[in-house]
Amino acid sequence: MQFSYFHLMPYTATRTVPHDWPVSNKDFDPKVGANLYRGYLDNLTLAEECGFDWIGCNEHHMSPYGLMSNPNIIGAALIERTKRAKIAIVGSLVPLLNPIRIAEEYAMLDVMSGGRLIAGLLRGIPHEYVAYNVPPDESYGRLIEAIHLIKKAWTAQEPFGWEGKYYQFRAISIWPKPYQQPHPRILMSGSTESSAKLAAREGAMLGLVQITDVEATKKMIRVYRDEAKECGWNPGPEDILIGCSCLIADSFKEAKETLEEGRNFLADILGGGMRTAQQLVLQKSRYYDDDSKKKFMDMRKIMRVPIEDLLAKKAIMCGTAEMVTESIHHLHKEFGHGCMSLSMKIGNVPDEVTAKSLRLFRDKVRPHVHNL
Amino acid sequence: MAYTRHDVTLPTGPLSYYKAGSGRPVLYLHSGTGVRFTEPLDKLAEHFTVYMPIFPGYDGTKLHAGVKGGKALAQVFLAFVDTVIKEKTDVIGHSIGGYIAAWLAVMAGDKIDQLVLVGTGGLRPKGSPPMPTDPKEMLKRAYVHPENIKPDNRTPEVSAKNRETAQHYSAVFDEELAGKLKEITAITLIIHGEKEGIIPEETSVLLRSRIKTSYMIYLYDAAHVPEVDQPQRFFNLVGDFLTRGQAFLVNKGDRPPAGVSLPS
Repeated sequence: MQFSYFHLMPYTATRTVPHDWPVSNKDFDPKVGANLYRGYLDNLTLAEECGFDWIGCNEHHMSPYGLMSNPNIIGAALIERTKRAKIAIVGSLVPLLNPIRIAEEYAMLDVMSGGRLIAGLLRGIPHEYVAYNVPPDESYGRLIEAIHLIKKAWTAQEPFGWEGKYYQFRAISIWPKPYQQPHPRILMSGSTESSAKLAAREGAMLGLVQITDVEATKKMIRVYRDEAKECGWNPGPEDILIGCSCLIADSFKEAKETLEEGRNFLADILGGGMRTAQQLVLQKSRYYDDDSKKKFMDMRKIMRVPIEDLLAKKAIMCGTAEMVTESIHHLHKEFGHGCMSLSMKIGNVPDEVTAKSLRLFRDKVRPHVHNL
Repeated sequence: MAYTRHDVTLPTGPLSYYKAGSGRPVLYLHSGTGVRFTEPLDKLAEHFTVYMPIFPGYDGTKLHAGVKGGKALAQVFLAFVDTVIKEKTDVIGHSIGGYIAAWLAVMAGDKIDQLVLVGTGGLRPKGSPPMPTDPKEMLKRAYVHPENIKPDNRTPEVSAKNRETAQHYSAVFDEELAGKLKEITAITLIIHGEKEGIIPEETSVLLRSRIKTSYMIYLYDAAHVPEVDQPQRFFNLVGDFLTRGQAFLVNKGDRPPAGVSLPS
């Protein structure tokens, strides 16, 4: 089993409950921000020292939810601080960006790291489309076309152009080409049936980075495997990444109380503003099909599911090292995945607590699960 | 834009051709299927004089004695340029027509202005998967959007004869042409359907690597017949290239929905 340590890099020095989006940045203190970046990079670097095989970050815009509007900048900083861990950018929000720029930046990261890039190519979450003024209705079409274009930019033997529906380029020949040949491993989200199928069609890893329910997750894995088979390939365990929130402490009580506070902060403050825009986009666009729309409509409800319920569903890891070890074994038995992503910085969980959780993982969990 | 049929007698024999439009000449060399009146050709004829010869032996016409293979057929079209068009011309060739167009550009660089090669035949590298023979498989690999195909008036017998005639001119890999591609001086646009299932990608890459001033463009959501799969996109691209030449690389910023802004 490969383990990935995932971080959102939230801005935790605010207590303002936002009701709108984008969230006003009047509360942002650059000096605090500088310290947060430093601390978060230290924390991600510690994850490598604690035996994590990947360290992951992603892209969000215009709110304290995450300070990585361009995760590739964080990726570049991590390359210089680490030696072994894969740099998992999970990932760039493809439909919002220039696909050639993504191909170029990912190729740079791959070459700079000596082939350590995991290239996440994601559609993103609905409200991000307001940030970059991209029609949400076009998200899926843009994602598919851009992925084809990015792959071509990575692999083409001669300069080429592209005449597409959303993208037109007359002359492309990226420098550098990726270190990994033919291209870095691609990871795509599989939170809906259509996205799981698309990941299979593109030969990408399936990423279920925040599971909420074991049966729903198993269904998406099944959809992914079936579609891959239709396309003539069989995904192995290494092609499936399962992720959830995790906090390891000396006692269940300590872990639960800390995580609960962090989740409340996440739901009320970090996630506050974006829910407004999310609902607006979901109501006024065809971002999701009807079934998925229902599922994602009430973000607040999703964020406020009691820890007890998530624990009962094995959709969160919270407790002692022994309890977390048991949960990892359980999920592995359920899903047969080869990569497990753990998020320990939930909301405002203090950095020293996540650092302790990382060390407990290294000393008391990893030795019992890395051979899965 | 209505195409009208004409006849001419060339040194090797009679040749029928379709013509439409006015303005700078464009010679269009058809694919193995034969002449097809597509939406992009209609639109091109609104801005150019489009000449579309029927290959000898196609659609009930007779083969020309002694004319066999791509190079020989290119000689016939060279005579057509001299006799009918009578000035330097742009050339578009699709599939086997692309193969013939490449020969034409090798033989008569002074008579060819700009060249457009679409899903070019005759240069199938060794080791490439063979051309499909099953018609259903052929259809699947040639089109992403078969629903765009317009009904063909040809009888099954004529279509079969056309396919047979294509073999008369075609080559799997024409070594002589491959060796002479470097001699092409025409600015060349190479179009390859992103989902092309008939012509290997290596063929278009070979053309791009050997033709001195050439540009290879992948047409998204299109296979072997991009004119049919993506008529508007094909017209935008080809129209822009024929109008602006090498400058088609430069985004002109005010591209109208129709794709091209042509000189009056």
